[in-house]
Amino acid sequence: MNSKYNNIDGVLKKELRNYSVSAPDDVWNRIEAQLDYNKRIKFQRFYRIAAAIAAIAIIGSVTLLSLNNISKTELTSSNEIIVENKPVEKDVREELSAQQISTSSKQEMNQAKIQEPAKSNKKELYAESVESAQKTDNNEFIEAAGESTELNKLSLLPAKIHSQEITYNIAYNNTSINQKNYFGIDAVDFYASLDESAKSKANDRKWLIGGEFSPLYSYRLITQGAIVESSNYDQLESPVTSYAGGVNVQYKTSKRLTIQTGVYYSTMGQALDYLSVYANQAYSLVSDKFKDYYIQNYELQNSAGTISFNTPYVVVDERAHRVRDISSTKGYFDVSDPIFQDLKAEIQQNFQYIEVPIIIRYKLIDKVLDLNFIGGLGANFLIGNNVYLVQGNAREMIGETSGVNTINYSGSVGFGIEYPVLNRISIRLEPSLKYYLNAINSNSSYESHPYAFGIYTGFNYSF
Amino acid sequence: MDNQLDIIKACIKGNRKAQKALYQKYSDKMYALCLRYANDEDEAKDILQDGFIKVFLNLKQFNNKGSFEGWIRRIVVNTALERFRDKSYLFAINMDNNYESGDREYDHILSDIAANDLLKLIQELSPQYRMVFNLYAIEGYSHKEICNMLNIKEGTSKSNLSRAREILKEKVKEYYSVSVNYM
Repeated sequence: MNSKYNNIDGVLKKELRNYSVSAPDDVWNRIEAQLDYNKRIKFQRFYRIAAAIAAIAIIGSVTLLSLNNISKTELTSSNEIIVENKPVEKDVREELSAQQISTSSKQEMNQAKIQEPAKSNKKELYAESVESAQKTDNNEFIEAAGESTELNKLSLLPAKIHSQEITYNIAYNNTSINQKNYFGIDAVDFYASLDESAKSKANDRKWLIGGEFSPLYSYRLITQGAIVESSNYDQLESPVTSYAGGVNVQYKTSKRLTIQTGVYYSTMGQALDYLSVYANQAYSLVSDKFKDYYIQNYELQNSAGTISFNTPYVVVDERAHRVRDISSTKGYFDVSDPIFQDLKAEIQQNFQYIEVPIIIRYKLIDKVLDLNFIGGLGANFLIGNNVYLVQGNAREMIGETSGVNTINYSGSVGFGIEYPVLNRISIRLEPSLKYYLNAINSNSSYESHPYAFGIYTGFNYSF
Repeated sequence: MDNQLDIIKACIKGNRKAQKALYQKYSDKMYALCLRYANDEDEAKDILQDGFIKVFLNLKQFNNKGSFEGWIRRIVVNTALERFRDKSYLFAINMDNNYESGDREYDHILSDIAANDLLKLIQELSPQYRMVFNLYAIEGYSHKEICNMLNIKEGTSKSNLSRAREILKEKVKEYYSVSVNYM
């Protein structure tokens, strides 16, 4: 610095740097009102996220529970029990229906809870977005204290609107605070323009990435084959609970239209009913060189094809003639012999796929809570083909289905609800139905098209 | 809450009494600072309000190593700069010629002027001169720092400072003559 001015600057610095002027009382009132307002917004955001998580957890749990109930098919060995099972199945359907209604009403209630604050006080919603921008600004602000500050206009927004925010607080608290509008802008117009600005900014974010998961109600539809036999298969097979999940990337082509693709893992299948499985206790008692005698070679026909398996278990079809013992050189067993133990097990056919879908999402309702129509096609690559013996929570792989296609094409439709929980993050709830357009086994005389219904839950991140 | 650290911790937890205590401790000094940067008292109050809101929202970022008052001061100064930058009061005036024609007689006069009146003299400067003068002469920022803060050229910062000094001298001279006449 030029020495000529050292004294001038020195005098002014000495006199003014630590100079104090009593701050007006009303400034603290305004600060207090602003802090209260920020606190209220913070709590509202917390409760919204908590409510959304709770809603997803409740809906997911109820759905899973419902699907478990309907897929639980008890293996029976007598006609008497079969007759008794029919009304039980009806009860299960009624129960499922009641649960679905209950789920639906709970869902509506939760949505209403979520929507209520958003609709009830629009100004608060705007202020929340402003507060978010303010936080960003503050962080940048601290960093910028000793270095370059190339601030953009958006980051300066909070400084512009403090007066307006306080004006609203004044209205709520009925306190006398300076209501001067520094910018000569009507407050409602200001927030309306802010709303437009926020929407415009959100629409500017063309890309989204996300993840989602769903338990599935999985079964199949037989579209061709002997009517009597397919009808029989409908009575001999039942749905299972499976699951699907994956990651996706979306691109907004317009305000309402989004294209989505991704990679999903899913399992689908069905349970084969009225098959009794017995363990031959002699198998565990004989020496190894005799064990082969007890291994039976089976072919099991079902709607998806032929299952081939070798097993020491004895499989008996209680209602049809699906099981063929091809170990003609081996012995036959009398399962009424006490040496055979009924495992009370179920045989499940399971297919695992990696799906690459192309999905179109059309926004039917463009509000805080968005409603989307979803439709698309997918290529499903078979990566697993297993048949399991299921006993409670334990399962043992016993074979596989022959001749199933390694690539299948599916169509899907559904509806999606989307709710923003943070600036760039939104959560999803999407009831969706996927149907395989081709029969999964081109070598079979039946055309079995798997389908799965799921309620996907997940999130999106926009950028 | 005896010491400053306790007050800061309580403020971070949202304790309103602690926040008020912190405000009361520093508000008078910061209000005087705001008055130096603002056009009028209303604007100074707004800067003070915005500044303290930022202080409370960012208290977690204070690492307790440097001067707490200095930290608050930086926030308030930056709040003032943001406001003026937004209002486009600051515009680049590229004047490379320095106004260094002053002499030391005014320095003695300055010493006799009350701080309150010095404050008024600074407030009468145009915004861009006031900013540069405050930042350089009172806050102690370098021209390099000022040109980054205000997004102006370093030469502009220097010439604005020189011009601010010249204007202040004129004002001091007027003030002194008026004061002498009234004696």
